[in-house]
Amino acid sequence: MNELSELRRLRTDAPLPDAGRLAVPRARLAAALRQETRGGRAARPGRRMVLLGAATAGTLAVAAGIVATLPGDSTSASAGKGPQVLSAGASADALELAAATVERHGGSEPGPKQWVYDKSTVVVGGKPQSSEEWTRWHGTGHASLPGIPPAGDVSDFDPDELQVWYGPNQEAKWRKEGYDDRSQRQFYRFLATLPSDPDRMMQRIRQEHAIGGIKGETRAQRDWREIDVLYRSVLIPPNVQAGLFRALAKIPGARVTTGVKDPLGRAAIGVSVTYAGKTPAGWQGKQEIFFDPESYAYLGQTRDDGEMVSARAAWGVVNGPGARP
Amino acid sequence: MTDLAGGDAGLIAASLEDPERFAVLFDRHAPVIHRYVARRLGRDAADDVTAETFLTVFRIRARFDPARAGVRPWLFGIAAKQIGRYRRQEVRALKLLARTGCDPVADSWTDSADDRLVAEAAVRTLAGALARLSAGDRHVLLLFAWADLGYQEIAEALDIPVGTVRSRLNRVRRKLRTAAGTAGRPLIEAPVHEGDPA
Repeated sequence: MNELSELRRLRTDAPLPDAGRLAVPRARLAAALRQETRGGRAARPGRRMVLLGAATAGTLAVAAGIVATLPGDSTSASAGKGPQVLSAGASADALELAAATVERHGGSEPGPKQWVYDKSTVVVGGKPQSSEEWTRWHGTGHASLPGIPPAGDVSDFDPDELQVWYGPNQEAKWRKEGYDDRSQRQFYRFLATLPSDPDRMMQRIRQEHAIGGIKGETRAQRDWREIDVLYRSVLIPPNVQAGLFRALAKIPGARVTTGVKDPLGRAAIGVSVTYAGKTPAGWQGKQEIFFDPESYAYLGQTRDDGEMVSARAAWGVVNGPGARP
Repeated sequence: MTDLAGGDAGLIAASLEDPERFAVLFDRHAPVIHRYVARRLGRDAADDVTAETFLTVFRIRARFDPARAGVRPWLFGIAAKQIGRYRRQEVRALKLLARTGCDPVADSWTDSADDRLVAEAAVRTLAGALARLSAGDRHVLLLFAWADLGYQEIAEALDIPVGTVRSRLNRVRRKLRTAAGTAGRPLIEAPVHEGDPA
C-alpha cells in the first residue's frame, strides 16, 4: 500500500451531511441573499430622504425628528422589482429556501390556557372587513370582535363589545368522535405527527385531515385545496410548514412570484396555480397564497374569481381574550 | 464545466441580478465541501467553514471568471482559506491521533464510543507526518487525495502555478514515505516521477 492509498483510508467514513446538518449554514447564506436582494433594491437610483411613516407613525416620528432613508419608490416598499414569475426550477428553489428557513424556526406549543389570536381581513365587494378572534389552546374558550349578533332582539347588542364564550374541555369527546371537530391543541398535535417527507405528509393529510375528496378532482387539485385550508391554522409546527412548502413545489404548475403585494398591500411572495377551466371543487383561474418574503409566514390568499380575498392581518399567542400581541 | 443555463457559471451570472439564485449553488456543492472539511476538522467546524465559504463566495461572486476550470476548485480554494483559521485545531487533532490513536475528528461523526477504533500504528504515523506538513503542503495533498482535484484544479484553487502543485505533491509524498519508512514499514511503491498524476 502506498502512502496515498493509506491517506485515502484515513477518515474515509466521514459522512456527507444531510439536509438537517446543512440547514444552519444554508440559512446563514439565505439571510445574506435576502439582505442583498433588499439592499440591491435600496441602492436603486432615486433614493431620497423622507420623513418616516407619513401615516401611523407620523406624528411620533416628526416629533422626535427622526428621518430615514427610504427607496424612492417608498410607497411600494420592498417590491422594487415588481412582480416576477419564477420558472418552475426557480420556483422549486424558492420554495426549498422557504422550507429550510421555516424549518429553523422554533416550534413551541402555547400553554393549554393561552389563546391564539388571529386578526383576519376579508374583502367583500371591494371593501375590507376585519375581525378578530381568540381561541383557547385546549378549546375551552372562544372570543370574537366584532361579536356575532344574537338571534331575536338585538336592540342592546354592541358589536364593539368583546364576545367571550367559555365551555368545558371536550378534547376527549372530540377525539372519540373523529377529526372534524377538535381543539387547536389537538390539531397542532396531529400536525406534529406528520412525516416530513412531502409525499408521505400529503398522503396522511388526505387520509386524516378529512376535508374530503371531490369526485373527479386530480391529486394536484386536492393537494392544493388541502394546503390552502391548512394554512388557515395560525400555528403549524415548523417541520410541517417546511413540508407544506416542499409539497407546494411538487404540485405541477405551481409557480412562485416574487415582489408581489398581499391583499393588505404588504410585500410578499406568491405561490399560485392557475386553472384554465373550473375544477370539480368549482375553483377557476389563478389561486394564490401569499407569504412574508423573509419569515415565510402565511399572509393571505386570493382567488381569481374574487370569491376569496383574505389576509391574516395580525396573529400571535396571548394570555387572555381581548389581549393583542 | 459547461456553461448551460443551469450550469454553475451561468448560475453565478444569474445570481448577480437575482441573488436568491445563488442558493442552488449551495445545494449543489455544499455537501461535498462539508464532507471534505469535516474530514479535516470535524463536523462542527465544517458547519462553520461551509457557511463562511459560501458567504464569501457569494460576496465576491462578481469576480468569478467563467474561463476557470469550474466553480468547484474555486469553492475548495476559499474553503482552504477558511480551514486555515482552524490550523491549530487541525494540527492538535492530528498530533493527538498520532500520539494516542484516538481521533477527535472522526469522533465528531461516530455516535457510539463502542464504534470508535484506536488507530493502527501506520495511521498514527501518517497523522504525525500530516501534522508536521506546512499548511500549504497539507492543502495540496488533501485536495488531491481527499477532494479528488486534479493538478490544474488545485492550482486554481490555491492560486499557485501548476508546476508548484506538482513539485509540492512530490515533496510531500516523499515526506510521508520517509515517515512511514522510519516507522519501520517497508517501502513498497516505486518513487513518484515528476508529473505523475497519481
